[in-house]
Amino acid sequence: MKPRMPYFIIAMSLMSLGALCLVALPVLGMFSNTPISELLSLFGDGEVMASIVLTFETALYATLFAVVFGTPLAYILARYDFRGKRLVESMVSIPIMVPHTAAGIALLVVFATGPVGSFMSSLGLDFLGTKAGIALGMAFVSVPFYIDSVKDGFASVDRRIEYVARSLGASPRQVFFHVMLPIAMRSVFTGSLLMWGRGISEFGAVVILAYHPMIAPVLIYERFTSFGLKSSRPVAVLLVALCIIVFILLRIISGSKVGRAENNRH
Amino acid sequence: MLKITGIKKTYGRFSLNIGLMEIAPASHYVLLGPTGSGKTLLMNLVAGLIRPDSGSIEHRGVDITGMSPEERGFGIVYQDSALFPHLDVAGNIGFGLRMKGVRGGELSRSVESIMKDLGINYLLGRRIDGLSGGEKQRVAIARALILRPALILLDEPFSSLDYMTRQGMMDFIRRIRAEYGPTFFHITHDFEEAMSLADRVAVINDGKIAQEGPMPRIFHSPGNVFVANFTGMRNIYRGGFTGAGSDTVFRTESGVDIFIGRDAGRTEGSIMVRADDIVLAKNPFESSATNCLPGFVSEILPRRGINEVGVDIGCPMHAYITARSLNEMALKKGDRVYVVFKATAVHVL
Repeated sequence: MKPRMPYFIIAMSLMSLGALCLVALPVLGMFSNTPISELLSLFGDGEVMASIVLTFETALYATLFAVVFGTPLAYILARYDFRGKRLVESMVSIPIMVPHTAAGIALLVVFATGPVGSFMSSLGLDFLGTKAGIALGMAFVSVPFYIDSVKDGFASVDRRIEYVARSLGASPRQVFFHVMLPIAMRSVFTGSLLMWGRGISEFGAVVILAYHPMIAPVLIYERFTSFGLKSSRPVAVLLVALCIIVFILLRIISGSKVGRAENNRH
Repeated sequence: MLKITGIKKTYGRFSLNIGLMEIAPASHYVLLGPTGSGKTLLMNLVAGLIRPDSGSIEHRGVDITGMSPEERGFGIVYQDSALFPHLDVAGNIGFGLRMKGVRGGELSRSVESIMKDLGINYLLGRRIDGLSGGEKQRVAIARALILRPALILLDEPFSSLDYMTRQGMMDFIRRIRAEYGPTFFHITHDFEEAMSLADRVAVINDGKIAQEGPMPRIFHSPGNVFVANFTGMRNIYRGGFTGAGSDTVFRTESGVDIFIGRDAGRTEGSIMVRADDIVLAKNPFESSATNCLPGFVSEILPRRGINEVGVDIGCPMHAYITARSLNEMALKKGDRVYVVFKATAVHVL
């Protein structure tokens, strides 16, 4: 009997190519149109290197903020039912839907000019044209990705595992740090990577709060508007290339760390 | 002694309502009931994972109703083990001691000691995801046992295991009981499991205890139709009672008369005849048995170690006979036989 052609799989694969092309073609096109000598010359361009370092650094601050403050919120949303939970979940998702320039304006109004801004300023924390402002813009637009990822991680842990830990003498705090967090660690890493990557690519909210010092996306925009495509493209290619390399490295590191955590003995 | 008094807990339309339940120290107490009957809810209340709407739970004379699970310190073993996936076997077993601040050599020695005692030291250093179902359950029991809890809660602990592994696990539980002497509060829907392990059984239905007592009493004298059905009884009939005293007869809804030989105290209800109280005969015979009812063999079903013979006597009746008896009688479907049983074998439900 002749084996039947897996038409369904073939059709699904062909349709998948559409999505893959949408993502891959611009990146490949950008790389193929940029000579390697142009890329290498950027390593001697102080402005470019400073903007890339600043981008990575501020995205890291935004991610650390999310890990410290977003993880408890993700845990609460995953494990507890309370009045207004839907509202809180909707609020967490707002940054995904709001245009990022509008988000920048909102952040500017609250944190740079209003009473909250004055209070923060009195604490020595200014958000207008500072690293703190850049990190704030990045954190605002990226934190939903982190919270959703970690929330799913916590929610996927069988409740009975928590119950057993309690019966074995663990307090709620010990259950969180010795059971829930280690089990959900892969989601925390994934969420952090998502958050950090989303932070690096942020432009709209940051450009309102802090045009200077310039993060890489702002520099690419400035070079494009001032000097044209030829000047901005190599910077864009370098940023994308560095992001890909860092992402791959972090994936490897986080994978092995999570693997080790899962094999952890007492 | 664990004493549960007047516990009520309502979730939506479901309500758990337990009047009084007393579990003696070092006993094996089984709460038997179908899915959705409230047995897991009761176990969670005993463990302190949820709080009752009213009522109290006492352990060794102390009211523990308001205590947290960690203060109660009861061990829990779930159906699917609920082992910590980020820890290996030793990490799981040592978890409770680690939470109490035990570290280093003392922790390792305690873990290795209990693993050796329970015959699972070959699992030392193994990852959780490489264990079989039975090994996981042994690790889960060792994890609970290492803290020497006075009470271990077993939640359908053998449901996901195959027959052979289940038998091995039941032996394992019996051994633990003999060597460590904890009280077991065991919930299950499996009557055979209860028969094999329990000292006392409570049968729960729709949030209420349908019958409670020593295991043999539940098995031999189910108190109502639900318990009889749930404990695997086959010959349960609805109908009406006529006559009085030794002349009392029960007539099934299909019109079969069965002598019960005593007052039933009511005009209608249900009766049950245990399948192993029935004798099959090719010919009618005189004996102290009051009932000798003719019928035809409708089915012969091989069971574990026995055969179940269905006989149509005007309504279906089932009897257990050994393989040897089946061969000697050369029974086959359609044969005419007599079902014989004493009036005292008839239980009025």
